[in-house]
Amino acid sequence: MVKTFSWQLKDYVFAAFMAMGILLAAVVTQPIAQIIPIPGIRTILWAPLAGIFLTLGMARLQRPGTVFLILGPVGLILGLINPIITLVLLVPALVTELVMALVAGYGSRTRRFWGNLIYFEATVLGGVLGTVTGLTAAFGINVPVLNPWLLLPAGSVAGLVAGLGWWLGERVVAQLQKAGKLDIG
Amino acid sequence: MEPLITVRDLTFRYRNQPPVLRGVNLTVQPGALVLIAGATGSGKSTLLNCLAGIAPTHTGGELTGLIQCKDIVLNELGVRERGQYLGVVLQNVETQLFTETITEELNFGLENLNLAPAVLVQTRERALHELDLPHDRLLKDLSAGQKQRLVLACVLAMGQPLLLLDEPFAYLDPRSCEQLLALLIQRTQTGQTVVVVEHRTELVTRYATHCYHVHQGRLQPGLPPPVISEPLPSPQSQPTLTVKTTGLAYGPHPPYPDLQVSQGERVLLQGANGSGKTTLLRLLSGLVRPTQGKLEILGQDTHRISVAVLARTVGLVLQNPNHQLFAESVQEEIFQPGVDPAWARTLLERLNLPPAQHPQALSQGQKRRLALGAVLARRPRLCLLDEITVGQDPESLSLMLKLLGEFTTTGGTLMLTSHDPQVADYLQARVVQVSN
Amino acid sequence: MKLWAPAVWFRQVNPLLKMIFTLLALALALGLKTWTAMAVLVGFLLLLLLLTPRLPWLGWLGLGLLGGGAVLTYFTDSAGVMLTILRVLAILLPAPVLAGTTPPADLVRALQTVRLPVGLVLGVVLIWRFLPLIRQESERIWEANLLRGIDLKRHPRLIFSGLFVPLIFRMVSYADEVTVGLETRGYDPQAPHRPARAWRGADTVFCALVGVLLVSIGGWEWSH
Repeated sequence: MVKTFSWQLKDYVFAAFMAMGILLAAVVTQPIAQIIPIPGIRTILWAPLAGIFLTLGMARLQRPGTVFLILGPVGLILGLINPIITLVLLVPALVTELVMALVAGYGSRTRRFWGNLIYFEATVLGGVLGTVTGLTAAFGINVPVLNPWLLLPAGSVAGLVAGLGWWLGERVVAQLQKAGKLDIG
Repeated sequence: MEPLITVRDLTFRYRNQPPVLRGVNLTVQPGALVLIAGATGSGKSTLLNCLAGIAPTHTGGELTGLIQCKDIVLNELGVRERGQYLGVVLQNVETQLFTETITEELNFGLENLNLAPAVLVQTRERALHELDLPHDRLLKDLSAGQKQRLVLACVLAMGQPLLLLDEPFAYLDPRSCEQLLALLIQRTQTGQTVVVVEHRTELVTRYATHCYHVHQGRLQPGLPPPVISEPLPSPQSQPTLTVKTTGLAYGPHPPYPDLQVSQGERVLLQGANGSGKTTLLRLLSGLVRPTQGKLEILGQDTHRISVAVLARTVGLVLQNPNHQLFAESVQEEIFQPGVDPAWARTLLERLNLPPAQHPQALSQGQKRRLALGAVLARRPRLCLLDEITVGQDPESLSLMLKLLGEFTTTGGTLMLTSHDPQVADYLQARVVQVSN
Repeated sequence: MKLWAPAVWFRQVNPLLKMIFTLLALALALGLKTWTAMAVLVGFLLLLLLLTPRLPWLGWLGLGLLGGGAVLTYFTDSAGVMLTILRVLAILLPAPVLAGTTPPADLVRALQTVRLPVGLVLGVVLIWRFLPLIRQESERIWEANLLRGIDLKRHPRLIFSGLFVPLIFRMVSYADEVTVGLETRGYDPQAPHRPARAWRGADTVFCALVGVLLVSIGGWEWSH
């Protein structure tokens, strides 16, 4: 069932704490990503950890807008490093929200899986396309941007890591419920 | 005189649980200093939460009865709406601070009241002056006591007639306790009413105008009866040295006094907040390395021993038990790989812990007992305890101290920090003053 | 740390103006076609960089640009190399200049005045305040693992149960406590937005400087 009431203070605060988890996941994974020269590697390393917090946020808040509420502050803060990061994070969030609004939110495990999948697929594919576009422009070489040899493996890996993040997230949700710390009624 | 607060027949229960509070009646006069004591989980913090509006709004559950401030019924008001009648200082003041500097923090609360800029500045300056706080210090540079004073300043600046404090003395050293007490007494002399929920009753009793305790869900006059009775016999220390330090120092601070602690000894480290007691325990456990001096545990220089290896002989119970709980059930937390199952069962019983519960579902007092149990289960030779008596009611404390007493009589060595004087008395511990 | 006078002046510029300038600079960085116009933009950014606390990654950026530039010479002419190097600088410099010269409280206040959704602004406030605490919590949990004889660096498969699960429990509990904390301090997400900061002399000077910059860039871009 979808919660229909408006956002409350506790929702904003919970979303902010999930955003902190996502930022911490970025802090932990980005130094490793920097030394691996594969397009989209940042998201691939970040997704399983970030997915835990995204899934948890979806489980608690459930409503359409959840993904944007969690990732919005992350995008604003990382925008202080570079506003392009804001776009890379928030355009896929917007895409996810638009798609998930069709099924009215994140109230079930399946919907949370799809939410994760759409978000991280959009981020990885967006990242790969952006990198290829940037490199071809910078080096003046002619590499097709929509290259299936690049997009298919990237898309598959993104699917895997999104699934892993979702699975770990659901495990935490189950533990929190067992301890009586997560009211997702 | 018209009472400031009237509570009539207050009953509260968490969802699907028996009542935590039953038929509580309380009348508080203006200018009173009221102490509410009680065992861990007795419901004293729940009573404070009900008065503040935190329960049931944020905790869930069902509340019946009447809570009134003068002639205003508070029941239907949320935490924020009650803010004009009462100020609340939570146990963990970190969660009540939201900015970077003292001035910004005061502004934050006053702007929420929509005060005119001129009034805001005037109120802020008065609060800073009254509580003797510097203007532009960063919050991260403040001690626990200073942060608490800042939250008090923020709350008092809003000018409510009633102040509610949840275990404000828990992490304060004696000097900070005296400062806080003086401040509270001063507030009551100006007509403000103060209600304090506190375990460390010895601090507040002499100044309180009224003392109550919560027992089996009911509010009763007076203090709860003491549970710890006979102190342990003096420890029989043995010739083997467990800890030997020489010129041990960390960072820019001067070296600690040299220590020689024998097997079976009980040592209490005392000192003001920030004196380096916790750092000394972290040095002894290997979590941080000394920048100077030498540390020997059971005759071995620990210089080249990793923390994980040292953990086989040294156990440290941290101040916050939440950091030390990892398993999905209490039983799993104690029955670690390599632990003797019979000993683990004994610990569960002796510490009165429910085996099937999720560790994070326990009360704070139970969590501390579990963290201690998980360390003792590994049978360390040296057990280090950092302020684990905080928030413990006498009964829970008694369970832990008895077990620790046995630990030392069977050859274990105990070193602990605690601001609670009854712990030193009960353990008959050698007191070492730490001033860094 | 004592700041020199121009740095103090730049810190007084309204953060909203700096944000607008950051976005403008980024748009220019992506849109300019001539290396001379790009050089004017980067020159201005480098001047602003003098007013910013030292950025630890600048040395690495310089090395990267030199290396990248060397590789680029195989693909394009010298003007193309210059343009790409300057473009990278123009993309990377504006945001750190904004972040390094704006106190977090001013930034948050600026976000509040532009009527961004309350969830976003409050999220930024809370992240700024509590992320260091959560980081500290994760360090304590890491240490607690060491104390039970488990070095997570050597047992990465235990990171989920040994670090993430306890950390998430702490975060959930913090979230509940912080909600109560905010309410006890009278915070109301529905309350009217705070008034915008008064216009200052520093704002006028900054706008004038940016105006001159835009005219110069326009001149170089369209005359070549």
